[in-house]
Amino acid sequence: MHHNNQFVKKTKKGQIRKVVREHYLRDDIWSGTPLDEECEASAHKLSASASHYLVIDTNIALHQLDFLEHPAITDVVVCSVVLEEVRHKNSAAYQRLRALCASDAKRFYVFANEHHRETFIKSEAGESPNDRNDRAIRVATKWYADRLAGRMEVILLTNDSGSRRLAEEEGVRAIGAASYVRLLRPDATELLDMVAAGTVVEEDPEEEDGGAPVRSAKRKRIYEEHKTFSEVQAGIREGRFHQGALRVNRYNPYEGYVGSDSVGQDILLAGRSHMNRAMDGDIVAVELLPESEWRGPSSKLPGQGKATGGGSDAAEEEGNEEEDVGAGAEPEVFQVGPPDDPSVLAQRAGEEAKQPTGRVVGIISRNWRSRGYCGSLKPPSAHARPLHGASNVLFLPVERRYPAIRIQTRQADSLMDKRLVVAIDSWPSDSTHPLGHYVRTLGTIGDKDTETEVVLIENDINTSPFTPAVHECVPTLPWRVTEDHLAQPGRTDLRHLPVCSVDPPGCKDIDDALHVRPLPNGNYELGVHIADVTNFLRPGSAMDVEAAARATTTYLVQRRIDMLPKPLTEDICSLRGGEERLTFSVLWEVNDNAEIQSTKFTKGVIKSRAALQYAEAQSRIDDPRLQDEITLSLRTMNKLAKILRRRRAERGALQLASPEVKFTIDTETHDPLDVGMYQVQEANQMVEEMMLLANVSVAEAIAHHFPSCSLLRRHPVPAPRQFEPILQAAAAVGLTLDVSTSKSLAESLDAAVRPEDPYFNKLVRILSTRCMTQALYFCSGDHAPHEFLHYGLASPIYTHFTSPIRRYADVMVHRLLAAVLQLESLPETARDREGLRAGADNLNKRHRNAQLAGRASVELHTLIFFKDRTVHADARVTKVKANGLIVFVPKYGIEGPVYLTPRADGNSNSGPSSSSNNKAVAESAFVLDEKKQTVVSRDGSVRYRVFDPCAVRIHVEEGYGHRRQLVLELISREQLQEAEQMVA
Amino acid sequence: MEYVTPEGLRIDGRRPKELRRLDCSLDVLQSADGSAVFQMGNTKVLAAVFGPHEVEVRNQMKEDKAIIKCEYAMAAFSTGERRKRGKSDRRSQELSLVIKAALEQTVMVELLPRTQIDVYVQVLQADGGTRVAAINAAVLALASAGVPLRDLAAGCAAGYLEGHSLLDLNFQEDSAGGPDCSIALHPNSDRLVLLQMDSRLPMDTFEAVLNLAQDGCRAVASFMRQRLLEHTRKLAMARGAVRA
Amino acid sequence: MSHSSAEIDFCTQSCQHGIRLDGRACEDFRPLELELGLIAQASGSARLHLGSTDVIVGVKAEVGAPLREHPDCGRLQATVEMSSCASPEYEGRGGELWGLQLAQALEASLVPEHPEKGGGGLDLRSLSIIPGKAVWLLYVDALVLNDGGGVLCVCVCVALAALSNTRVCVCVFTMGGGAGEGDAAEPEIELEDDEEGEGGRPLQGVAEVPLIVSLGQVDNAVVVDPTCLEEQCAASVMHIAANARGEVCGVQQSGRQGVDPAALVALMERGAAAGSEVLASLHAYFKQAPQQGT
Repeated sequence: MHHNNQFVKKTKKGQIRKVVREHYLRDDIWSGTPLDEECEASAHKLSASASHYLVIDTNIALHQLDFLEHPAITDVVVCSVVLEEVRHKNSAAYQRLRALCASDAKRFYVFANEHHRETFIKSEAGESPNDRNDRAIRVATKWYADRLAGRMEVILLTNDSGSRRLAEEEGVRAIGAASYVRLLRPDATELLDMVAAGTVVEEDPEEEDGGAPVRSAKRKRIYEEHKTFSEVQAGIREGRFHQGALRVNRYNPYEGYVGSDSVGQDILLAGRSHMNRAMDGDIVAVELLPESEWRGPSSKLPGQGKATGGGSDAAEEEGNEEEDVGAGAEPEVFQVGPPDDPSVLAQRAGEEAKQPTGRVVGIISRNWRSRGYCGSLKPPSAHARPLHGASNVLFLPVERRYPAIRIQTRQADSLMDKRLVVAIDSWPSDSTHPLGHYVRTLGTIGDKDTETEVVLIENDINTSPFTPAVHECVPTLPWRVTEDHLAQPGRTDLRHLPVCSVDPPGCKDIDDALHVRPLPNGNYELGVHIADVTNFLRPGSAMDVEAAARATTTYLVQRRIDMLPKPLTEDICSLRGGEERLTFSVLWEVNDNAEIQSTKFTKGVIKSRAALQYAEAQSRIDDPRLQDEITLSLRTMNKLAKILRRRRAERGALQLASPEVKFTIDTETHDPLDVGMYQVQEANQMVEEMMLLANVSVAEAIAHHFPSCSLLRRHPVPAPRQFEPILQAAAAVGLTLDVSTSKSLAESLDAAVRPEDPYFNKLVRILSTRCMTQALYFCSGDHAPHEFLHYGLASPIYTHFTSPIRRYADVMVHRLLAAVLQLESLPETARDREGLRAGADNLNKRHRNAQLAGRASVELHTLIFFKDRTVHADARVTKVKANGLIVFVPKYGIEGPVYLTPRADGNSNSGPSSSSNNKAVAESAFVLDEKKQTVVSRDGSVRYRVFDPCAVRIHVEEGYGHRRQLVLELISREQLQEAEQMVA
Repeated sequence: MEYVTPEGLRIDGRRPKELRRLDCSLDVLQSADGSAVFQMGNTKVLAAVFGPHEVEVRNQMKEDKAIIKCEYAMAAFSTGERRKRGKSDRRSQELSLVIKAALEQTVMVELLPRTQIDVYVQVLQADGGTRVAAINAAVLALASAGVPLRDLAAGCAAGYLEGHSLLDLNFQEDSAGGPDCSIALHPNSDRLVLLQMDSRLPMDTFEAVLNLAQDGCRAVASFMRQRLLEHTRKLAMARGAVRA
Repeated sequence: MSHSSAEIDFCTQSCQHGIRLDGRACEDFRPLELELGLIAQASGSARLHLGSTDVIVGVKAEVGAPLREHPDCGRLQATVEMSSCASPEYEGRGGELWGLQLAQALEASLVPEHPEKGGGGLDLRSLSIIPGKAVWLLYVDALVLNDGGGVLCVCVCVALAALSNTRVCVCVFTMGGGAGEGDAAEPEIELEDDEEGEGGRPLQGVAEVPLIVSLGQVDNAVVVDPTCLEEQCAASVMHIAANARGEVCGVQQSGRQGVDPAALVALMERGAAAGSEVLASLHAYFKQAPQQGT
């Protein structure tokens, strides 16, 4: 049977066109249940012994996914019209719904109602598409109910009371999600927690007639209503509003910035009411406040009382339950890592200055995570009522940039000491906090595995095992080089070369190996051999798709989440000692002065003589008794590397520093046994130098052949204002840094030494590094050649070629280089700018997430390390505030606040609480001199200046329900043991 | 886009290996010696045959066989976007040649030396697969004109999208940019008289697509044969040659 | 198609006796067979057989810019294509010139001379969306599949049928922000919400469109709706445009020998009467016809 679907649509060009599509109606669409004799056995999906079947409408599918995903919800009929609507409205929701339909355990059956002869309906005159689709779902439900009459109850699940009424009229049982759980699922009360907020109220029979508005009428409006889409559009066109992505302060969900091209500067949003329910990553429309109301961000250490945060927000008057959780919280001690994103830098710059300040008038698109937020419930205050039954509780995300989320739960007591995942449903104007619902429990707070899970979820890192389709792409083990490999076009036999690899201890994914040998003409042949991953990773294969999505291997302290399956990562690709392996090699002829005479790229086969650790390589270089081929090769290489390094420094390359720490992990408990600074040796620098050389040579080659579609890496020149924090601090101690060029900066960093403090230089470097933005992957066609510059390396062009096992960027570059050599053609996605740009964006995002996860993992292990320890450590002041200091502890790579005055007890910590009287005294006890970056006590006895050495006691404070926090307290330096004193 | 749902239905409700609905009528025009309308789904093509008649341009005459002239034209209203494309635009000319080549292998030209056969194809509605529908319409028109044919030539297309081989793509599926393989088959002698595929496709996929298209051609051919028989029976009855 | 002199002679003679070769009386039209909505993709469509003359018309509505001289009026553009299927003589560019002539005549009869004043044809004013900026553009494309005489008459009839069958959707539009941007703002046209489905509104003024009736003067006889052969017999053929009220809206003469002015008025009256009669029955049919055939 056949029917023509006609509709009018607007094309991309803005033309209005009539579209006619065929629509076939069929007799062979089954009901999917064994109760129906006509249904083909192959289509059986619904269980014959279910207590009832549910048919869901589009709204349930869109908004109650966590509820649907709960194991207790099974035997559901999903109409094709629902799938279609969900696909149009939210592709992430569609993916999740599809996964449910694919799962055998869930027994979700897709009923193609739109192509079923008996359930297809035409839209009636004057019927909106929405009404028509709702009717189609009711018709399908009725069809099921009639077909299974007496054998199985069929229930329409919908939160739309209008549709429920119509369904009842048509003789179909219909029920809302919350009522369904209450009335029909006493077995799984946990489900009630997962019903998305907003619907619970609508469901209440008492409020049935009025529906949702009853609630709003009763409650006070807290936030200004958002403007409608067309008002926002008109405002932006007229220049009254400014559009941009919101970046929220890492420690305060109610302070953020919107970058706006129309203002040419970041717009500050401060306080709850001005943020007006916008959250990190949302695209918002902002209205500027009059200049008289402009301000700068807060300059005190928070945690000294509520007034520091949101100011006099109306929201705070709501009663103790609504207290300003986010803004009142104190900053945590955190791991110092590579610089944050540019946004954070921008807000660090010029902290005292007033800047354009605005308020959010509309949200153009929400950036709410469909995967939810990790966090824990807010502990009850001492005088709180005991929790029983369904209660409203606040959920605090671990990520401080997100506000507390109100959820309803019946398990509040048992969840108090758990890490949870919660999803946001809505944020109405009459609610201080966004409304959300419980999704799942990860485990007990503080438990290593639970917290690691949190780190991974928060950074969106895919830890699911590789699918069978991916594993199928992996050659079977044992794998070895064969004659076929040697016969591949463009592959050279390099097995005779004295190649070896130098890596950190325990490295199993060996990407690179090296060699040097003298040539008869007095020059040297220098070779860098990189694992030939693309020989195994074929474009478009399941493994390639997966690797491209993961983009990088993620290294946590105790765990590695691979980009490629293990056999490839650790065996087939890994350039292990004594094994023949395929490589993509760069061979240079260099003279005695390390000047490149010629460069050659080739696919190769090598046999690594040895897989050395840094320390081994170092001792070989240093031990004059050793004269074997490998050692000689290493020694020559070291000599060349030093020349290269010196020359690079002359060009203005920066010696950047970030405090990296290394844990010694117990092999059985996987708990950290010891932690310390990571020692860099000459051998590290030698390998690094060779990799840089290879990366630059490859970058030049691919950019020359593919000027518009090469994948390169650039490090933008930092804007002078980005350096303001370090300049200000340096000036206070009489140090001038010349940041005009990377060369001048390098020179002034070299000159920044204090004879009495050997660590001073490193500290200045760390703080300078923090002022810079991160390097980024990009598509060469998107930037002018002068923008290709890598500032930190002082190289006009750069890319990543040397780690294809763990970085997908290098895989893409390998393919580009193979195309340059005409060994293979470029895959489809790498040929156009669009595809490459999308790829580069993902690389940058994943790379950053992996870094953040790595850092968070270190933070976690630091916390575990200090759990049963109290340690005294040498520290340095990095920032002074009116009531305290920010100090940096090099040995553990951590930075955090210490209070000069007794801490106000905002949270219900176990520490002794201070009276407000006490606080007032403390407040006035110290005077801050911003210019001199000094804080002095009234009596002049205590005085701290930035960069000053100090000492801290580090211990872990136990809070309610396993909530742990690292706490730093100032002690006098005399208490520090000799061994803890730092040397450079 | 999702061209085939996990449940195995295409956007229009067909399964991957199903043809669209077929329809045809014969002898629909007054002046032509033979004519037919062939419809597959929303693609509707009219063909008219004039001849065999004297060769118009003397020097084109072939002593040993008939010559076939072919013209393919699309009505302005036949496509979703109105477009006046004339008969001389490049695509129409290319298609004229393609259809002509297929027909030259189908008509028993050697039986009609020194003659000319004109075949005009007019697309009334286009919804994917016009070239194979044009061949089907032309073959039916030739048959209704009584031109001797070696075999029915039945055309059908098949494509490959999202890992599925799909029979008889409609316009929406065709626009997805996947490979599209158009063929015409002599079902009795099992020979291809048209084969066009203009994308890169791995060999094994191509084979699957080609086999599917051939199955489609056989189904189209049996439909055409049945309709031709019915039509002939009707004519014979009208002339009193057979009784009902 | 040319006919032998014997055929012409025979036809002429029979007309004098009031008997036409196809059996009609002089004032009779050929049997008329109409099919509506056969082209699904078009906004309106129809196919008409008048005797052996066979024409399909598809109407497509698009949004475009108005003409400068009529900023508040929609536009209509007619084309007539002589399909090669009708005859090999139209192959290539064979039918182009005649097609142009027919298109001109067709357009003239569908659209009033002064569209801004309305009356006498389709009401183009009702097809304005944003005055001066956007209007509906109607493309009336006729495809002649067989010419058995009276092609122009058939073209008008079938165009009328297709237009009666045409629906345009209702549009709403938003103008770009006023202040600060000058007149650079481009209007945004959106479909009204409930217009996503089928349907739309019918065109206004279809009832006003005149029909063209051909009268052939074959010696002393006057035949209505002449066939090809009768056209060749006729000394002159008059094409009379007449509306539903029986008023003459236009007239054109063609043929071999010219027409006697004295006979003109009578001819026109006859044509007008015949025209209004056919129009009346056509409109009656449109009213009861189903909107879209499948």
